[in-house]
Amino acid sequence: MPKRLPLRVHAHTVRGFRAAAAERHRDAGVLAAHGRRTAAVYLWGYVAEMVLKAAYFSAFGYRPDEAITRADLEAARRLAPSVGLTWAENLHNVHAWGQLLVRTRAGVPGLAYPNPLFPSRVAATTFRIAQLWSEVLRYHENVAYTHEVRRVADAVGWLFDSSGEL
Amino acid sequence: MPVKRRTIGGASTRPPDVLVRDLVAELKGTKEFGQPLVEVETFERTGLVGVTVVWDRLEPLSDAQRTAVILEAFTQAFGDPGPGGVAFALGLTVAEAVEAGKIPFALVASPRASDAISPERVRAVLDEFGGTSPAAGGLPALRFAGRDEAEACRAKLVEFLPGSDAIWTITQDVGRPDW
Repeated sequence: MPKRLPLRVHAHTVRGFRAAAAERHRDAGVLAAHGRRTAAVYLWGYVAEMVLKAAYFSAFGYRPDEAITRADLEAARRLAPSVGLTWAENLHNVHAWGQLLVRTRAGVPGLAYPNPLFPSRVAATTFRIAQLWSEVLRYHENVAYTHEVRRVADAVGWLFDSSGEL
Repeated sequence: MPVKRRTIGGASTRPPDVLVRDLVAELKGTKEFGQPLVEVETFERTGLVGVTVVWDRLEPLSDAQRTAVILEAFTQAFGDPGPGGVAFALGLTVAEAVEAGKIPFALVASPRASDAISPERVRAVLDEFGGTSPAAGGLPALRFAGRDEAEACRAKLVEFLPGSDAIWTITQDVGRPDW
């Protein structure tokens, strides 16, 4: 008998985050195209979160299929103060993940980006996404404006397309 | 039929000269309070620096333009940092920096009608100190990354406006609930 969907999911991994980001990116595009604007924004936020988590753990030596546990995510957040970052909210904070990635790369010899334009854009883009996205959107009936959908789509699209450079 | 050609919305990231010039002056200045608030963080193990500028004058610019203004001004003020000198350059308005949690402390004024100092005078002083007017109206507020800076500014304001001790309040933002 085939396993049910929740039983088929595997541990979080870099590869898994990237694959899931691609799936949800496609889903969000379909939702946006059919006028389901808040749902599209909602999924795009998770795309950004997964792209950033994959980039962070990949940069710091996790193999593509190495499990990323809840403890690993918490440990990453605990490192935030060591790179000058105050992480006040939960682990869905897209801007905090963006900053953690940029700042940790800046602080670790050999991991810095080759020029400041790209990481500056990462920091700015994740802030723009965080301005329009929260994981609690699912609990509310509000409908995203079309300009909000466009801004999130553009920002997340750039982040997704830049996955290989993150 | 005449054909008119024009280019709309070029994606130039060339930094506006006037903003670069003014930011250079601010970077070289010794102002204690107000905008722009410039944070230069050095990453000890690499020597790279991260630059964040909080300045309402950046508001009309795109993020890429803001970065260009900061990098250009930083270079003009302190010389070419060389390859790898600046790790990132981020420009935010005061409202955006508040939203990003970078300046959670606010110094707000609550003058009463019975106070000897008029609200107009308080407003003028707050403007001079770089206060930002809230969208909902009311007196401008001053924003800080830490309580110590806010306390120091309050002391300066009392020096500036003798007898104003009671009108200043320091508040701190709290995070959003995550449920």
